[in-house]
Amino acid sequence: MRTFIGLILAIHVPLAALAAEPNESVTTHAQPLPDARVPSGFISDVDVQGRFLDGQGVADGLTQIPGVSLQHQSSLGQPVFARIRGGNPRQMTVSLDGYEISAPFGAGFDLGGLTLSGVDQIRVYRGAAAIVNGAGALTGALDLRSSTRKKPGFSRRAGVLLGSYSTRGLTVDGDFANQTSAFRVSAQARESLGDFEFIDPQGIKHTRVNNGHRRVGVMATGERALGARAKGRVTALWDAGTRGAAGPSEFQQQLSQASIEDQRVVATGRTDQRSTLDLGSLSIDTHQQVGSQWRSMTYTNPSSLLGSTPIVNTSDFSSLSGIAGAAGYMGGLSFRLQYEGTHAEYQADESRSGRVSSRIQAKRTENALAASAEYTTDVWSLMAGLRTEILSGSRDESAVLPSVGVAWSPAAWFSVRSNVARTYRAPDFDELYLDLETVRGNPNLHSERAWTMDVGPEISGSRWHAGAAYFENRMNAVILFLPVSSTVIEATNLDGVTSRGLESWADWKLSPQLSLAANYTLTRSYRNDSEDQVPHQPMHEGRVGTRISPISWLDLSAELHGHSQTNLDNFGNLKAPGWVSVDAGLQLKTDLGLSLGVSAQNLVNDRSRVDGLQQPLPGRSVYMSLQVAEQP
Amino acid sequence: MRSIALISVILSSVVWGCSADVPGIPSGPEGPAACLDGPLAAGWSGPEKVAVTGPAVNVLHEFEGDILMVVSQDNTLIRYSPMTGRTSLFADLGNDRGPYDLAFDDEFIFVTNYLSSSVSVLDRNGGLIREIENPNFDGPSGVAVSDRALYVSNVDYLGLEEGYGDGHITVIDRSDFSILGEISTAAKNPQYLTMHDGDLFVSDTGAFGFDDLGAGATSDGAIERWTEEEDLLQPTRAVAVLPVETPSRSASPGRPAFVNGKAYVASASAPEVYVLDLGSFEWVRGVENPIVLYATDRDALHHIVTDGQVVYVSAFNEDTISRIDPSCDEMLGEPIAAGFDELLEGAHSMVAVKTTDGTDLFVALSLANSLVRISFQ
Repeated sequence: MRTFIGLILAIHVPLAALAAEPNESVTTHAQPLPDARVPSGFISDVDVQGRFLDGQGVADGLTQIPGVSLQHQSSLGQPVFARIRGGNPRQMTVSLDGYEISAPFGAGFDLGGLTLSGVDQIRVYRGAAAIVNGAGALTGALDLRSSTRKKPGFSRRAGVLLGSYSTRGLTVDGDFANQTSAFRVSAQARESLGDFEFIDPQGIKHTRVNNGHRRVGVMATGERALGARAKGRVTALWDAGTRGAAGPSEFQQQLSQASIEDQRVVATGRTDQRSTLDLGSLSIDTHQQVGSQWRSMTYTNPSSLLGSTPIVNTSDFSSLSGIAGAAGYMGGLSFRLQYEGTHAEYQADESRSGRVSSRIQAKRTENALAASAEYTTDVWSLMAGLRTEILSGSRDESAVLPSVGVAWSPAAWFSVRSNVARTYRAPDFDELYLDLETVRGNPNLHSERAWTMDVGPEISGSRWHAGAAYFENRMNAVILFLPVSSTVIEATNLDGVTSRGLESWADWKLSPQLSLAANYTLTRSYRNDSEDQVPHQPMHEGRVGTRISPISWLDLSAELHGHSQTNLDNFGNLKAPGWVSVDAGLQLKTDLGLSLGVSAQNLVNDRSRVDGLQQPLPGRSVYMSLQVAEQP
Repeated sequence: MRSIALISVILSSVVWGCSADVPGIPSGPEGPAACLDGPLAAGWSGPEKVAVTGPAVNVLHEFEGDILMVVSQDNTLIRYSPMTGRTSLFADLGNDRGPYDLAFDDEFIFVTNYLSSSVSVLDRNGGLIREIENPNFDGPSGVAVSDRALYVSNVDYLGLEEGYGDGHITVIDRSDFSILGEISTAAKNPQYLTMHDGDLFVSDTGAFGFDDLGAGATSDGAIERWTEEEDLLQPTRAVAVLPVETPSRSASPGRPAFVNGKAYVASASAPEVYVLDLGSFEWVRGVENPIVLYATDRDALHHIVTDGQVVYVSAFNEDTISRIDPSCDEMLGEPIAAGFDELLEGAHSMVAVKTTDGTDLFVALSLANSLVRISFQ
């Protein structure tokens, strides 16, 4: 930490550029990686490149990060939702290279419905650190990050995937870089029949059906130096797919024809200028970013459960954003100022028998101004920030969000960090305006607000490091869809929800050939008038993993991860048993750039696992891959 | 209106100020009588959570001294023993059934499966004997059995947009389970069937619609009494209509409870109980002068049982139990909390079990997935 802060002060590297190009030496899966905007924040990067060929999705790598819980609805390609520090999946934002792609509707960002094409890392902001991601990041945020080749040259890579549940996949990457520019294009396509056998709570074996998916994604990233002290970067993503939308496992037949088709187009560009203004003792860097997103989704169920009326739900969401900011450095003091503006439009129709029965048309404009200052010494970093969010359009309101952070590094091997921030999430469009007979939004909802705080030490040696953090989120006006009568479920504010717990992590590189990593998180998340853990949030979860490279052409990996039982209702009555998954991988590499991989998940073939009520998870899954890489 | 159980399938989910006789369990003192010659309002203790049920219990029945629970969202029957306090899986009906109600005789247990339009026939140990499937079934809900016939009510629900078709009762030969035919009901949505003194009582709840405050009745409801004749398809029928001239909260009769020669019927849309005189088969407390349980603008859903002395009414949206003294049809004491939580737990179906000390009332909290007991001394 101290080294990093000193680096900023010494060379005035643009902060945003640093954030975009993390130092490889500190980019391990468990080690917190500072974001220059919140140097005291609990932020970690996890590498996800290559997971496609292990038969995994965007979310699976997140088990390496303490404080992050995943809720899988089914097998590969089906929805996966993340929770950060006891929050729910709506209470976090997801961005792509800094541009928010999560949208204000739905049950949260579906990490399972996204290819990995072009995504190299996920940066995880936990707790107060997520304040830099603005409104929506109540308990945390994820940033999907692409990268380009650093050294001049050209490389190509292609791989195929075959595996359980009739899964087939293809991935292709091309990288080019010269002294001033770099460009990368990546494409992935995958399909899976998806059906698998499972054991229900009564001990009966069934087959999960309507569980397949087809998905394709293409992402291109380009970077170019714009003179000696500036650079630009552009990222574009097209991601589309269709999947079966299996219902509860006890009622599969009723939803055997239900499907979801979705498409997402994202484009964002950013420029950074170093020393835009240099007055000797004061230097100012600037940056600008624009982005646009369009997303469409169609849910079709030829027959509904109540009666026999076909249901078609369609939604279109588009957003346009602009960011302009500056960072200044003056001795031990640095300051940042950033303006963000986003305009979003959303339309959703529910049709029965071709007739629109419910329609949402909403617009929202968000203007945010964020200012922060950091004072550093050799030992201390003190930061204070203030963010103002102003919403207009279908809803008018504002929020003022203060934050403070401190990092203390009395020795190179020891540091302590602590943060406090006020965070905020405005109600999503469906929470406000959904208007079905039995499920309704509530236009009078209050926005969610939380005080998030954390504190924790970190120690490190030359080949190991370990840390821990206590966190606490005190949330008010938490929005949940709850039954308000025997016939109506309505979006409702709940006052007083607290999540608190302890994160711990350690990794140890025993030798160049052998490394170990482990994390454990204790989370208590509850309504203040109840002792019961909120649904789907495990109290205990963790992971132990090892990677072994006994010889140059062989990589072996193994990990054990899982969580304790979870509640399936708000009253602590129905419970899903805890489960543990043993996963393993093997990769054979040749000097010719050819590599063969085998990856297995849930080796013990536990077919009774669930993360949600009547949402069974698959048993043993095995994937094989062949990859050809050319890297001159 | 379909039950909350099925709503749950789609989607997918008080403070006591009195001193407690048993630590941790609320209790209430004996209260004044409601009627001149009626009993005092019994002292009570509870609710006490006695079991976790399974998702979305739709109905409870007393069975061999135990309680059988129809768990709609799990396609199971769960058995709870008040003696041992143990809960066990009684029957797994198979996926995609959506069980709604059950009835039993000395030999079999019959379960209506709403979603699969079938009737599961089980032995009294829960073993599946057969499953009756027939095109005549159209949303089978209520079920009752006599010596000669098995009756299945079909609500003919078409969807939220289309509403309800004409309901009918499928009449099945009890001896060989052959379908004898069908009889149309006097009003729509025949949700429940109940045998009483050898007669079949049909609860025609009527059609439902939705407004800003929930569900309301959009067509007449009725209670029918069928007396079997030689030809099972030509019973002698008496019909008591609960009229609905315009969409209304009132009417929407549910399953009756019988005491003192009267049938007590709680509304499935209003906080009201209606009283039907079984002799004249006319309403003595109808939609124009109901027993009002509490005040609300919202919709409401109730179930009703009796221990032969007191009528107990559960209020789903209030998580409370109300008592009525049938000797004068007045409310007895204050409503008693049936739940524990600030969130709605959904007090739903009940079973009243006479004990040496009084009555144990078992209440399914359908949203909280639990069974609670309230003991009346």
